[in-house]
Amino acid sequence: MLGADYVLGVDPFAQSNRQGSSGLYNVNDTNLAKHVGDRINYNYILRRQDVKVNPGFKFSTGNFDVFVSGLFGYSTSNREGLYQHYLYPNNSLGQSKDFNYWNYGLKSQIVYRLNGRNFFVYNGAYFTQAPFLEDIFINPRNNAYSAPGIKNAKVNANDLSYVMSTPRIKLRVTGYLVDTEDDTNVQRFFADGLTLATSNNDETTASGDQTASAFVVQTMSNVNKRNMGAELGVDYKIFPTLSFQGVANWGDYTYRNNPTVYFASDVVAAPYVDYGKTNIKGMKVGGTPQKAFSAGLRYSDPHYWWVGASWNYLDDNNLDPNAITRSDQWYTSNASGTPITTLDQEKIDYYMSQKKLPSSSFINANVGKSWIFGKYYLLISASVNNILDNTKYITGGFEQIRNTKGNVDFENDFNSRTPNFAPKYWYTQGRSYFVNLQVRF
Amino acid sequence: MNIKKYFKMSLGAAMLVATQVSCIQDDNWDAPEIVCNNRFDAPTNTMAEVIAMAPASGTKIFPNLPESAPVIFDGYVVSSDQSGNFYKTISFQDKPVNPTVGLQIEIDNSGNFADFPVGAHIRIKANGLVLGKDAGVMKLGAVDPNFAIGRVPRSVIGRFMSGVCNGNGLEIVELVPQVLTLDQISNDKYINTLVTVKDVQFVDSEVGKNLMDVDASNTSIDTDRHIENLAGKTAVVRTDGFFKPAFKIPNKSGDITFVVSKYNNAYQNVIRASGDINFTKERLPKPATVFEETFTSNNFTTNNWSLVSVTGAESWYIAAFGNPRPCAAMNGFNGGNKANEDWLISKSISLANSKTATFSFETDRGFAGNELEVYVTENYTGNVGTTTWTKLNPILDTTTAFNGFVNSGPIDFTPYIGKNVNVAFKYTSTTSAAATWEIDNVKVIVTR
Repeated sequence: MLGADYVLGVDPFAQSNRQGSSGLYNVNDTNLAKHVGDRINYNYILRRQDVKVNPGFKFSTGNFDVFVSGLFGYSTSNREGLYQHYLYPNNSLGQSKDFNYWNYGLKSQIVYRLNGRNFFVYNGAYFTQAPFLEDIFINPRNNAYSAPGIKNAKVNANDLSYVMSTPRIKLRVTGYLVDTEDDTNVQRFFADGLTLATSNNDETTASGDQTASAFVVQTMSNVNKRNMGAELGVDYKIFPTLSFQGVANWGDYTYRNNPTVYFASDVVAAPYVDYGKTNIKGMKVGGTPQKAFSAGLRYSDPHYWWVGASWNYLDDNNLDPNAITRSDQWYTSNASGTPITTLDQEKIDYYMSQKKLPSSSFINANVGKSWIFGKYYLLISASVNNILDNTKYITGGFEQIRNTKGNVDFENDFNSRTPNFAPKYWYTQGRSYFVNLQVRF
Repeated sequence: MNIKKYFKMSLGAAMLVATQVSCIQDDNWDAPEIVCNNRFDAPTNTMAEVIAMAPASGTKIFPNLPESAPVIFDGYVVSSDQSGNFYKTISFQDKPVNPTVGLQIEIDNSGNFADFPVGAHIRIKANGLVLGKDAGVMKLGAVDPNFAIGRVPRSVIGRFMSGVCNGNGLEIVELVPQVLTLDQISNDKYINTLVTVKDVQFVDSEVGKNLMDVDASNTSIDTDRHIENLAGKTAVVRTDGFFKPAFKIPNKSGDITFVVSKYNNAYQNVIRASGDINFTKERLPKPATVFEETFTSNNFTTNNWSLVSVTGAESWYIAAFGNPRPCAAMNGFNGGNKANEDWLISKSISLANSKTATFSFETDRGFAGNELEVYVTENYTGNVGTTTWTKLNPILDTTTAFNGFVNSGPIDFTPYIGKNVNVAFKYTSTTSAAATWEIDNVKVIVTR
């Protein structure tokens, strides 16, 4: 309590949320002085029940091994609000409707054995997935509104591998294709410049001015994605003591549609605002390098020690595109309703295009030795990762969404040498050392 | 050996996969085509029609009920707040060329030039707004208990105002300012329209000053400056204290473009930016009067007038009327209408070393009869009959009842620059009608 006797159970942003409102987190509780141990701000219960049945069976015929598994699931979710919020008197208190989802799916694996050392493996799955609880309720602290158009996501995953296993060479080649449809994406952030009608009253009065800067919940419904690519893994014994390991992944993970974006905010009278479509079709799903290569050598001495080194190359990592900057609303002026006059097609291309992160390579090395003392097995190993101390590699990040309009303020910040709202990046660690001692008995 | 065979096969397969994958276009995102959609339906009225809906006094609120008929009209933005003038207001006129009406909308937002630049084609849905005359100017704005015309809150501007699309963007047209004179601009019909006045300058006392004065704490304040034309007619150029960049009034003359405005009864004109002041020419020449006759000396000899009577007994005389008294007069009525032809001819007037020259006089007429004729010559022979006269076409008094002197207007004498001229008034009357013509304030003004 920072020395205070009590805190006031009133929203300090009530006046900017809605003028003349009471600001009471719970309009039924007029005892506003909240002491230690009292609840303030919000009080709700989220409930979810999941039932899943997963029958499977396996059989072999000739050179085929087949495994098939079914999936049946049912989930039900609801929210029970214990406070009646001043902004949402009709949709905050009490139990919400149930959000029920039936889920089904089929999974299978087929292995075809060419002979004992060569086989083909196919994995396939088609299933639906109920939305996560945190995606169903867009603002659960205050109300029971759900994301518009929320439904089961559909996942269609397939991969086909060729596997070879011989004493000298082990090899695996895989092609994969995973389609996800009707996914829901919820993000929460602070935004400037949204067109958020602050009241449903169409009469203008000079006193009704509101700032359109607010903490908002952004929902993208019906997001379609495709992950496809090929992987290659090789382990080849050049000599009995020296082996080569190679791994490659060539992936292409993209968005396949232009989803509709919705906003919800405490300053908006409506449960949510339709912000139109966002133009991310064809953009890459961010957060992971889509092209990765690794090659290494390992010397294993007959005297129970080894030394190895590998070169790793990561490429085609991208920032996940934020929906607002790619929306049609982004280049449209709130006031005029027409495209912002300072923008043109070239600038739109420049500002909207995806931020590709730089590629990078790393060299790692490891060494180890083991002993056997009677029934004790002792292993000491050491590794050095990122030997070249490459700290420029960006492992991930996100585009900050602050200015929701491509106006001059946005351009100035975007093109500034020290932008206020540039993307946030996480960088890789520098050189790191590990020493590992293992005793088994 | 089997192993080798499968190794080859698998390598082949891997290469096949690699070539297949590399054929996939890696960056297949295309920037969205910019799309422009008109927010409002087509206009229901012209701007002039909407302005005509305003009551003679007070204001009109356009109802905004579900059943209310939409009132939508188009305009073209003439103002810009980029330089600091037009604070929280946008002026617009009904057409980009030859506008018939102008209007302004009060909005609680600054930096409007970004959304509504000069020349922007805008569409206004008036339902929910209030229209009326405020401080002498027709304005559109929000219903506000504290003001006749309130400012439309920033967050709801889009409900009432929008741009109009042209292709995939806001239509921005080239405005053609109306070219008017300082005598014409102070007129309500030009308020909130774009006007260019040619060949004017800031008055002598303001040359070298900034457009704005400063107060005791050295802060710029709203300031009136004055422009004048050759004839000495002046008008106010009003500039906001926040206008930037600082602009020093040049010791030049030229053309100025501005939006005509008014505050209560005082007309004032507002530039959008200092570029509206296009003063690149020399200062306007100072006028010099090379000939002036007011007949106050009660004779024709002071300025050596020649009185030539060709016909009739009556002749030019000094009359006890005038503007002010006395004046020269001729009357062919003497107990009855008499036939007369009488010339009043000035001395030779030098127009040497002049850039411009104008001739003017005033007339007052009584009774019906022939029009007075006015001539000029550059080679007066001393004989009206042998002189080559050029007839002038001045404004003359058209009434027949001595109801005041009428100015002839400036008669351009530029063709006679560098020459010596004589001007002549030729009176004629007949036995059926003889008017009285009085002449005063005969002037020839040159600029050097």
